[in-house]
Amino acid sequence: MKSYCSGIWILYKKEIKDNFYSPLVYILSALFCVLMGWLFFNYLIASKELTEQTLTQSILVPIFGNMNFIFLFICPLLTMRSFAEERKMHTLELLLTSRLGHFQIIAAKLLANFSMAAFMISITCIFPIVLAFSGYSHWSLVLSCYAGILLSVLCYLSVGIFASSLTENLVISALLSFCLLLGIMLFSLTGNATDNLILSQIFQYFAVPFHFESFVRGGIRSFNLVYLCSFIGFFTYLTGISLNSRKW
Amino acid sequence: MSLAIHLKNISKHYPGVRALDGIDLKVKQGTIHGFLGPNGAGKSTAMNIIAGLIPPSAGEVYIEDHLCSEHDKVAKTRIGLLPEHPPLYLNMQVGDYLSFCQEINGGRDTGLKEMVTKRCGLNKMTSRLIGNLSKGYRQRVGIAQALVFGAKVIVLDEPTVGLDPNAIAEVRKLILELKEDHTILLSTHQLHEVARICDEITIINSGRIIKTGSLLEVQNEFSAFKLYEAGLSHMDERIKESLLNFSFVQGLDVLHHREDFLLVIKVDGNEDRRSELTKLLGASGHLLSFSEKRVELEEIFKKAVE
Repeated sequence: MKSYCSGIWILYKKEIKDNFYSPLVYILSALFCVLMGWLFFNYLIASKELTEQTLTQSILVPIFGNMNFIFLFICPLLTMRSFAEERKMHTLELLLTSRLGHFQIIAAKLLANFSMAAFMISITCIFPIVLAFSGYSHWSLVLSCYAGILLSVLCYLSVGIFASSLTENLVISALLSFCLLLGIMLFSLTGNATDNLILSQIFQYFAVPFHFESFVRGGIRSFNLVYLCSFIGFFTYLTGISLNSRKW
Repeated sequence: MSLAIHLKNISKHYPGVRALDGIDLKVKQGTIHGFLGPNGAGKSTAMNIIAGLIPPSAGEVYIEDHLCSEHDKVAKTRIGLLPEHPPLYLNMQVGDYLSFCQEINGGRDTGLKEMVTKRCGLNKMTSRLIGNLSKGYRQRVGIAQALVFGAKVIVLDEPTVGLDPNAIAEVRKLILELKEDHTILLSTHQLHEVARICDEITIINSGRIIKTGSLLEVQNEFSAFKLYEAGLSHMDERIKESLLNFSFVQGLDVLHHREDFLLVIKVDGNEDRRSELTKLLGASGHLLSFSEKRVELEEIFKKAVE
């Protein structure tokens, strides 16, 4: 087990180094900061007028909802290089002929991208601090929101890594990942379009934002965790199949 | 001599394509084995199967007596692969890249890394970015990554492709040095390279092995003719006619060299005709030298893949 994890750690270190040497992560982080800062400022100003709502309802819920939506665009850009570039540079052979297993390679790449996303999310920790000055003290909900956004982002990244394993073109990888994520998002809209309650709930269940919402509202259920973990597991499995398909 | 690589009845089928059709290949330990064939013959497929990148549809692969399907990880640590396109991270320094290659193969032996770096002529390049290196040096880094984790069997897929003559000579020298303690399977289209450095060769075409053996054995099987060179102090029509009277003599070239003459005699088939020819030329009293000229590997290759 120790050597298994050390295999993941070796590749993770290299990936993290590669990501931090790339200007992409800094550009994305800067854009994310500007966008989130602007949104937070607007919600903060608007909250003065929404006297009947709590700070959670007027700021925290919409800000995390927007953050989740923004990551729908950021995650494909973060993951597009993962396997596409390895294929393009013919370095995937190096990894596949090494002692690392497919799952170790996928896990290392997923964790490295997740670290990048977590780095970006960590910048938003300033929002609860600002809210604390206004007397906000619902910290368990803040933690639940962060847990939700981290799990939701991990889902998006697993889709992005799968898309990246299908092609050697970075643009196609990002577009494919974005289309897949948008398709999954649209499940909830499809659910709204039907009058059949059961069908509507089934469609809603398959959309990531439906489960993310439970975290933001502080009502986490076990099925939310089961869904999000199964989602990550399913796309990791698909990535494994995609890597194996080189052997067909 | 024990075998470093043993392919037993290996087949590889893709939908609608039979890339390899029951090939048997034996590579002896401590030898340089040339793997020849036209484009699309199945060389890279066979090499990828040996390196464990793709599994065979049927058959067994043994690396140093370990059955690959049973000892996958053991076999992987014994094989070093340099694919046609060297797997290099251009944004990494040479030293860091070699350490990474060692680590992903379960080792961290700085002594071995230093030895490989020195052997591949990279000791002054360890802090250079791979992306800034010339193609020749990148190829050296590619070979170093195949050696750095202690593999004893090295598979080189066209290591000299796209290199200038100086770089080709350097890579050739490196391959010959590696022979001391490694077994090398070398695929290349540079036939003169094969003739210079390989102990044995295998010719493959359309997924089947045409011939395997030492260069001499392959030459004997596939050369449709033999060439002999005779040096004469005097040449006249009588000698020429008597040579052409032999039914096996296909052609005769007479080259004038200063005071002497050089006869290039092309003889049909593989039989040894030295005794008949030296008897005739010796009787003329003008014979200075006589030798058999080796038929170019290119001719043999053409004949074998026809």
